[in-house]
Amino acid sequence: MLIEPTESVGRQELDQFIDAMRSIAREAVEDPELVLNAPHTTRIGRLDEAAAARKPVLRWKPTEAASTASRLG
Amino acid sequence: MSQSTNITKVTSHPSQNEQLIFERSQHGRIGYKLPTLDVDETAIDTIIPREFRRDDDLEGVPEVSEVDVVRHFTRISTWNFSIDLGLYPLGSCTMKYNSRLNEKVARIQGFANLHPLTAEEDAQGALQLIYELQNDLSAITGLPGVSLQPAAGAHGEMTGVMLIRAFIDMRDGEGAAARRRTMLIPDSAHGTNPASATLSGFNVKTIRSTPEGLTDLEHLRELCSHGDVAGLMLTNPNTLGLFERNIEEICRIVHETGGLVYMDGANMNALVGVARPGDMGVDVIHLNLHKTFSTPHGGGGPGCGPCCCTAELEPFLPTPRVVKDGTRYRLDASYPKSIGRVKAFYGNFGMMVRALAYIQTHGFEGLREATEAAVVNARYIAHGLSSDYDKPFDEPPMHEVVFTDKRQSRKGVHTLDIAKRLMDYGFHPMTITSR
Repeated sequence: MLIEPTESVGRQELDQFIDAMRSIAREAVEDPELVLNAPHTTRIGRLDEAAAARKPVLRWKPTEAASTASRLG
Repeated sequence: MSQSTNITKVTSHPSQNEQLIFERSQHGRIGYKLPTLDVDETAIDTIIPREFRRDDDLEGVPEVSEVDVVRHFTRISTWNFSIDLGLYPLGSCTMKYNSRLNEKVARIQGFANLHPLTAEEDAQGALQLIYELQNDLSAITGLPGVSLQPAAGAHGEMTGVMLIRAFIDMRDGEGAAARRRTMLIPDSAHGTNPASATLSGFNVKTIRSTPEGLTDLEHLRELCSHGDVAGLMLTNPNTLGLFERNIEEICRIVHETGGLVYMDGANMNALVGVARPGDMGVDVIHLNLHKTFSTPHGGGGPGCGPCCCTAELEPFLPTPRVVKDGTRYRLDASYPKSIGRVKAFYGNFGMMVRALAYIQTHGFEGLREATEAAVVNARYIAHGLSSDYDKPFDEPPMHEVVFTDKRQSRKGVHTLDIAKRLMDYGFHPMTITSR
């Protein structure tokens, strides 16, 4: 993990970041599943990055519209 | 969602079930209305021959109104995380917030709308700006030669390596230079370093890091003992956020074997106003104006990767160069040893305007304060997290700090999981180099 806060962060936000990281460290011990399945608050959760790199879908095609719509729910 | 209710989110991500723009298409919907034709109609065949025209009625192109387009892209723009939204602690990326003033200056009509083919006499202000920025970057790096042409960090890197090659070819002559084609790169380097070296015709040899995370001097001496070393590409502070405290010795070893030292300026945010690469023995460096010196970046947008070098390498810099004759500025292409042009016209001028605004609004003292704050902030995080995360290097970090998942991985939680979980707290993840 390489962390670069830069000069444009104030003390308060540095403390918030440190608190968040320490909280995650506690979660990793007390409830590892919570961290392993993150993120929980984003529209789309954990993506299959290997599949995205190996089988990228780069173009929308009219004929696939129906199946795309059903996939996105 | 119950799992997310017990934490405080610093920023919120709107979550909408947005369709693709293609799926919003309604047959026949348009976003414009043309006025009634008041001239004679021209047959389309007389303007565009039939074989160059598509005949599928633009199948699949979305038919949407203006407000459809504006709302669609405005909504998805709110899913993006940007430096305007919160902390963006990507290591070695220097995702700093930049003053709106720099943007305002870059949008001044005379700068923003200047045509690249404008005659020199009508572009004196722009040329003066380039000239003054060159002087400032020279003062910051301690290196007299500057070219602002390269349009990205890796582009400036490659320009620097090409200068080394041109210099060695001239100094050693064709036969001897052909035997000096090894470029040394530490194992902690950015991936673009070996790419730039290889593309410029060098063979890359990797230097080991010591357990402290610094360049291994013994290994460097061994690699320099064969007489085939053209140069060393070194990032300082390195990608582990550590200052290469043996930099003078490193430069001496490389110089003694007849090689040159290129410094990757990716991490200059830790040095600006405090230490000058030229004083350390570095021969050539690139800077990233788009990160260290203003200009928001991160979206692959335009960049500027100036190349600064010693007087020895200056004759090889790309042309044209901006020079001053008395009180007038002009583009000068009369450098016979130059590696030539590396970019159309004179690079990405907008970045240069922002950089000069950044430098002049900070002043020398301000630049130094920014550097000190960047280092102090990273050390504050290093201190704040060292009781919960494994910090593999004892040395106090410069502008960025490395931790590992050694403790968390005992429970099966890896770096990637920690980075993903950080998003739930409203922060952009840090840079990760492992799973």
